[in-house]
Amino acid sequence: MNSNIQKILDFTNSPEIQLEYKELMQQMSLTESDKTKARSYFEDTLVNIYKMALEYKLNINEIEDPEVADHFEQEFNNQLCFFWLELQSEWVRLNNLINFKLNVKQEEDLLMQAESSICSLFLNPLANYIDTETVEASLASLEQLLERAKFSNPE
Amino acid sequence: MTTAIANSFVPDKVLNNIDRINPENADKMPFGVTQVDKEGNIKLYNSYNRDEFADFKGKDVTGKNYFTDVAPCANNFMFSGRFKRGIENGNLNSIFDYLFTYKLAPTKVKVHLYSDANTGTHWIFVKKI
Repeated sequence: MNSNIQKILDFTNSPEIQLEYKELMQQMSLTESDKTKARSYFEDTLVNIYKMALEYKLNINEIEDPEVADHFEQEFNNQLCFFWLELQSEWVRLNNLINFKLNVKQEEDLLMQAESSICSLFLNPLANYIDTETVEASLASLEQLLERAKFSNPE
Repeated sequence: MTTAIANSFVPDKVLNNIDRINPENADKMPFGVTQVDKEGNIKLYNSYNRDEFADFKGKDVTGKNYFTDVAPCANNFMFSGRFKRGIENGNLNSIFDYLFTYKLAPTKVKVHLYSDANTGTHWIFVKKI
């Protein structure tokens, strides 16, 4: 019970992710102000993952029916998949914007570069906790969500 | 003979003898050498790429797609878009600055996308700057 949820909680508390962040920052030349913003960006991302896992863990532990508990555990896995997708989309957006600015305006936005790399720090470790079945279920949900754009479009 | 673009980091002798590039001599080149097909599927990926751009150390990426599997940060209008337009127009020879941000500290690179008309081969050369 709660195995994947506990793994995610352990991941957010692990020294490894902190170390990876530290090593990343050591390779970047940010102003003090940007370092603070990058730190907040990193911590906010970590806290969001932690809070989501903790919320599910605490509530699932109170459910007596094991079948219902399993259902919510699967729902957590789906939410994790969407969280990963959110991070992936954020990284794509930042990466493309960084390179757009570099190509078109010859501008280097160091804070945005740091945020982009911070996003990518989380992608591989989180993907390890997402199984194929969950990815396929989420793909179907994602398709349904995108379909909504058609209905929302006044044309 | 190829007339190289003036600011390319790829020596003329490499561009003019592109049919002679093989995995062994590509590994000795001081910049990333990737040969792809027109869809971006990798046919050759040298050691500079593996050493400098993380995540694929010691792994064979032959057959994987450069833009979607290996360098997803290059999958946009500015990079893969240039590649596709160059292939479509039959004149791929483009040099530009780019920033890799995927799973590594932001790394600024110079990129040279190049097609060789004689051999019908397509190349992605990358060098850290």
